[in-house]
Amino acid sequence: MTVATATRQAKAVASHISKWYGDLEVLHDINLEIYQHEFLCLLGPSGCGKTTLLRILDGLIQPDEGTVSLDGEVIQGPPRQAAMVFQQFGLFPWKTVSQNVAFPMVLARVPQASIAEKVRWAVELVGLKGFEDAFPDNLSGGMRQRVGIARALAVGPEMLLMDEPFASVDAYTRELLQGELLSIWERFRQTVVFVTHSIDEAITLADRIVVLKAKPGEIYHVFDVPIERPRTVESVRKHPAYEPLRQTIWDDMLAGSGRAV
Amino acid sequence: MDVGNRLPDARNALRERVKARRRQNERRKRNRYLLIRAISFVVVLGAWQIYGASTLEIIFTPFTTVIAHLFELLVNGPLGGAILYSLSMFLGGLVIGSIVGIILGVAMGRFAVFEAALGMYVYAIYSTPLVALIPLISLWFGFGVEAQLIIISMFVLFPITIAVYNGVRSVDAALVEVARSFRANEMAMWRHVIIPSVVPYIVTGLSQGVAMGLVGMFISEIYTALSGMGQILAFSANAYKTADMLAVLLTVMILGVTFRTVIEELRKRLAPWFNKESGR
Repeated sequence: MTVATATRQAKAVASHISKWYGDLEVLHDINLEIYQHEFLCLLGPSGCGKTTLLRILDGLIQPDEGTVSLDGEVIQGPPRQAAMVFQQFGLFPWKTVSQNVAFPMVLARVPQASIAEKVRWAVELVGLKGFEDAFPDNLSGGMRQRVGIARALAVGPEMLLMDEPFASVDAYTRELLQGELLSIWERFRQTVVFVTHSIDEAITLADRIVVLKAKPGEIYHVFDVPIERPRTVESVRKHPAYEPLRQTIWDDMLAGSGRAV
Repeated sequence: MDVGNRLPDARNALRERVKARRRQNERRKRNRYLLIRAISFVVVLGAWQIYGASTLEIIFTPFTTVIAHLFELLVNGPLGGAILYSLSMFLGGLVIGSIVGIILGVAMGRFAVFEAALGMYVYAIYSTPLVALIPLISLWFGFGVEAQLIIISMFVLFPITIAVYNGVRSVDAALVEVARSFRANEMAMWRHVIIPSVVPYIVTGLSQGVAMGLVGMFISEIYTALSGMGQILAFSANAYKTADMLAVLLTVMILGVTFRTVIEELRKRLAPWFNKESGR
């Protein structure tokens, strides 16, 4: 079910992106095409600017050089087609689960009845039925991120931007959520840009892995993941391509970090 | 299978026992707490009663006498009207002080211009004992209702300004970014992010404002034209009517506790997400 190379069409294009924080060049001349309906992972050590790149793709910060275009148009701010899932969940503590999920639709002035229906759908999709009226403070980390994912999915985004969404939950929950994200994504196939520092997570989820190296943040190498879908966390681990790819990326990241292999 | 069937039953029974024990523990704790309160109440009132009965009437009077005087003052005396007068001054000052305080706090917290222009005065006046400003206020505004309202509002104003300012400053930048990412405009940002995060701070400021406002109320009634409850307090003190004085103090205490309870209730209504359960 992998999308053939010939039919690949760019959803978003980052061209010649550079970003400086003071004297520090965080991103250097990033050129990246993100294809329609692909699951792309940005993989790199901390400090390689992957989160900065994601925020630039979401129009939250402006690059010092270069542009991001989405569906052929240069973005000026957060685009309507994209929805972000945040590392620290980014839930409003004064809103219930339902109200948090409804928030982007309330902002977009979606009719009330339609909001209620979509909230119900999204909450059920991420397995939070029965927790609609709970406040985030009363939920576990895993459940909070389910809310974050439901909020992003409910608006029906064409592109999902995910900023290390599972980095703040325990290892067991992380695998569980990875599996659920796989099955959800394989149903809807939004274009996904997923930031992670975990090679395993990248291989498990992605069609394509972009390895970044740090200081300055640059695209180092891009890897295709030759593991067919539908996948599960287990089926990926047992796939013959898994170990070699993991080793290759590991060596690549080490080389990128400038340390001896 | 036998084992397979017995195991869940045993576990359920154990779970029930654990739950029952926890409930019992909580009940016991609660009962002990109430018991200590009751004992403390009896001891303090008893000591008050005994000491009041054994000493001179102008030094201290028994609790029962104070209650009797309280009713006398309320029914046949001026206390009812005084409470009404004082309370309306207090509420007037509270409303004025809160509104100005919230606006000032929000402006200073959100816009650097206001902070730069006004911050130093706010802190300077906040650091000055407000009582010291009363002669000046009287000089400008006289001794009437106007001056009293201004004094009370000033007592209310600063705790609220500072609390709201701190609230606006501590709005979570990550949540602002979330809202921006979902294309919130400035209006939506205020409605969904800034105001909700400031509400608990406003309530905290209000509860300090109420405490300070009661101080301001008495001070204004004693230091400007004698009026309201402050007048009864001052007259009875001058006339060595200690029982009347204690009756007025008791009234204020009851009012203060009532306001605090109302505000705590308000916090629960307005900010139910803002849990502050003690870990005892």
